[in-house]
Amino acid sequence: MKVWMFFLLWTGPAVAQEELPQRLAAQLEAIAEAQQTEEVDEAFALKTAAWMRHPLSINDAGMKELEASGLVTPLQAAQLVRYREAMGRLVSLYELQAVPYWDLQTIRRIWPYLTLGNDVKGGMRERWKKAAQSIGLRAARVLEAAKGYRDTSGKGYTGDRNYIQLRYRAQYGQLFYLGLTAEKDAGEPFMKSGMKGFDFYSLHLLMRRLGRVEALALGDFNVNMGQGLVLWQSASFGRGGELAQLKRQAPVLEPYRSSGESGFSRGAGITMILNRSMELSAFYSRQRSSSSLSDSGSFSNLRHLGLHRTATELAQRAALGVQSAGLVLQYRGRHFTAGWNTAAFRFSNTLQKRPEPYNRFAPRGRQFLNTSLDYGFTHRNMHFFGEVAFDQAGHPALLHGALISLHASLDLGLVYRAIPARYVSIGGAAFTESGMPVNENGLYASLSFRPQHRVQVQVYADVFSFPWVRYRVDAPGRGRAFQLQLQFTPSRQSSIDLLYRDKEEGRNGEKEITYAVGPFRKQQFRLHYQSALAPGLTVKARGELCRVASGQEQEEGFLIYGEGAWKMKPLQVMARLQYFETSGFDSRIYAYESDLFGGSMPSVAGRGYRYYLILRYGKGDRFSAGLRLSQIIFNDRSSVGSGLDLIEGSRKTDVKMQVIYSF
Amino acid sequence: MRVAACLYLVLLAPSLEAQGVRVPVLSSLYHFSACKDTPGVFSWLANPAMLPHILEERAAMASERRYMLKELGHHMLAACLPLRLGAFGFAGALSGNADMQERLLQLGYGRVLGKGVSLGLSFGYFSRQTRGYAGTGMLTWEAGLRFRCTPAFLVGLQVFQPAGGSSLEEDLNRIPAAYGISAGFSVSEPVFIGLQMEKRAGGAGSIAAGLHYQLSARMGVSAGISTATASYFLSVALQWYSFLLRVSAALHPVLGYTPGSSIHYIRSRS
Repeated sequence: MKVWMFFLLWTGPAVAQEELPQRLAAQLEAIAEAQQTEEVDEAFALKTAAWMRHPLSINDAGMKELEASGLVTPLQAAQLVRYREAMGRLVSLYELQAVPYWDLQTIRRIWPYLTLGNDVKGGMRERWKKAAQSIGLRAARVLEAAKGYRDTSGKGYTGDRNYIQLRYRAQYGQLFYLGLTAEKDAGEPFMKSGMKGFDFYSLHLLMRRLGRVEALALGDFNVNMGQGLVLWQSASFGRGGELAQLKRQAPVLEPYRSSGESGFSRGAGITMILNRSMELSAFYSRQRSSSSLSDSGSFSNLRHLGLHRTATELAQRAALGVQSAGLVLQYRGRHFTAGWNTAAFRFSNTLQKRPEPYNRFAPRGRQFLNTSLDYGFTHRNMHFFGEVAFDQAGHPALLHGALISLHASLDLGLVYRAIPARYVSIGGAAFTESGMPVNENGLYASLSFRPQHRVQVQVYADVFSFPWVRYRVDAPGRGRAFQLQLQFTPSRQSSIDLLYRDKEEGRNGEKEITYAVGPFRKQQFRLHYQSALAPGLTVKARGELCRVASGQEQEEGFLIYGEGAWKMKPLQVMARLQYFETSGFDSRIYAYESDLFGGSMPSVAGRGYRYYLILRYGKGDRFSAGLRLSQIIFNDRSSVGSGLDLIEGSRKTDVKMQVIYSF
Repeated sequence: MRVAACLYLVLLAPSLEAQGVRVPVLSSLYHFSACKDTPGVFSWLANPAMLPHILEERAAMASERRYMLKELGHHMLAACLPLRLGAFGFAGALSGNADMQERLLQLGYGRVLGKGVSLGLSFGYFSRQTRGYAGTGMLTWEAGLRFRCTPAFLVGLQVFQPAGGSSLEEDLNRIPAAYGISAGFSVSEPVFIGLQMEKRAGGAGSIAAGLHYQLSARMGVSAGISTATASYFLSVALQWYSFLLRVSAALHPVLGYTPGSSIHYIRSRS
């Protein structure tokens, strides 16, 4: 499953534009670990690049734009609007320090994405003429041949080892998006085995502010409603983030610019302005999705990886018809917002999960409907938000939260959720342990404290319970998570992060007649350092220790790396060398890596080394090219991977390249 | 204050030091100290990149009796020589008893690469002798980087024998690789805190944290904790002209006390 996390933007000291700041990377690592995924969508990088090119106008952006940007909390957005009303337009970005609740850290963090004026405007022709356009080619290959490529029995991969992606992008601020993506994964056939070209195509067109039409989306797009209990397809952060990320904030319609083959809408969507405070959004989506159908024609998996490499996977291609539609009616007052959301899904086949106890309340059938009411309310230094949703059978789910600025240097965030096991949501992504809005009650509290301008302390605690059994947990249970993160910035060029995370929940232990559910505890300690030693020269170092206790068994993991990046236009060189050692899979460690295609989040388990080397070349704003070589070398095994991805030998080498021409 | 600084310098002792030889129990007390802006003579054994920052010619010897057992004694000698080309260090360690001994001889070199960055390398010869068996020996090497973010804030990165990879359990003739990252921060002139994370291949990872407080120009106290053996440490140092005496002790909740002492000589440049 992909990590849908690519909306919020960040910056920090001493990092190149392409680099994620440490706090954000740490959060992505935590999400990757919770969702057991290693993919980071490139849309995140695209979004950041777009903000750099077309910064947000702090004198022109309204509440809606400020909130949707995800750069600031609703409290900060409301205070900026109030400040402008009282004092007029800001004459300098430095004036932001005078706006209540706008602390120095926030201003520094989002500084590159702000401008005083020059709000992008214009008709369609002007937007098209001024749009930044680019054409890109990306390719990747694993140098060692996996078992699937050597198989001659007909069960192996039908295509070659190359990953190829072609893409075209055009964007003008946040007003106009046009793009086309064509992609073939490694192992997928190209112009053979019945495949006429690439395996996956995606086209998107999204325009904003066309008279009474606030947004019009055609092709592939994301739909976002409320706080994610009904439907959320854009970025969604979980625990441990900035307070601005605690509340789901995104426009109802957003362009889909990733290459993932599920988790988006395909059709048309529109947002109409009814009057000064009311908007109505509607969408309709129809697409064919890959799925494994049983003999009876039912399917059990809602999300497909989109890999069509073997004859079996090719037979699953476009096997399932999915239609979805929805309506969103939004009211936006001065201090109060409210929305009514409804979304319906219809499948061509019956959704039928495997008859396991943990699937007792799983969605079943062909048609699903959810509806909800969401709200947001600002009072002085407090902002409240939430959503109350119902599924087709009338089962309710609740999520309520608050953002409170207790002091100029102390912020508090709270999220309470009560989502019963019986609640069914097909496309939701809420603030929960797994990201899915199902079978979870909990209370999350986060505190952000800035005792002085060089120090930031972030603490969160989350207590949660699962009313019904889950996968690998054969009993209802409870859990808790705690994190303390200290960021110290001794100078503008350097920062050091200390992180301690402790999480405990239930998990199946030894099987006798049934599994005995026992505590599963994971503790992590991290020391991370990064510094700009000289203009263009950045270094990073990290050590991480992880301890896992599950019943009588204990595991330990360790990771250490050093990284250097040297930028001397037009060339940029980046290299990392990493050592890792874990005594099992549960103690695996995730570490964010820079990549040509946004970023990646490989987890490492076992013992060995990993390194990568990135070369980037960019001539002006027109042409850029990149090459990435990464290799993992295990000291404790003679093969890498499993199944058809099994590689004989202790090494796996990835090579990637990218060429982009902008005009 | 210069005296106080000198006093502290000589307090510093090894951490990743002598990976081939049994690592002294008391080394955990000083793990953090290799990040001090003004390191001591043993600090280059923790991170060779500390060598160019040892400003005076120094020599020291240290001993400890592990858990009060004579058979588990550990003895070290170290010296450093700052030159214009960079700094050189020499060290020797002996661990064990007449029946089973491990020895390590080391030569280190370090220099400042540029603004805020130093690099150090050390090479050694490790040998093991067990009564009644043939002796074994091998060459070792170690590399370290030191980053100076501000005068009060340092970060170090150390790698020992990375190609040596295998653990002692797998191959008695090879010694395990070790990796470490450390950070140190001078809270104020007399107070310094430090942290080190360390991993030996095939062994348990550890986190060591420590605090040093300079009570007066001639007396300093250090205390720390290491998670590897769940040990607590305390050390008191007294300086008399060019000589410094340090007395230390570690407490393991099950195995008991480990006493240790060291004497240092500092040759002032004046």
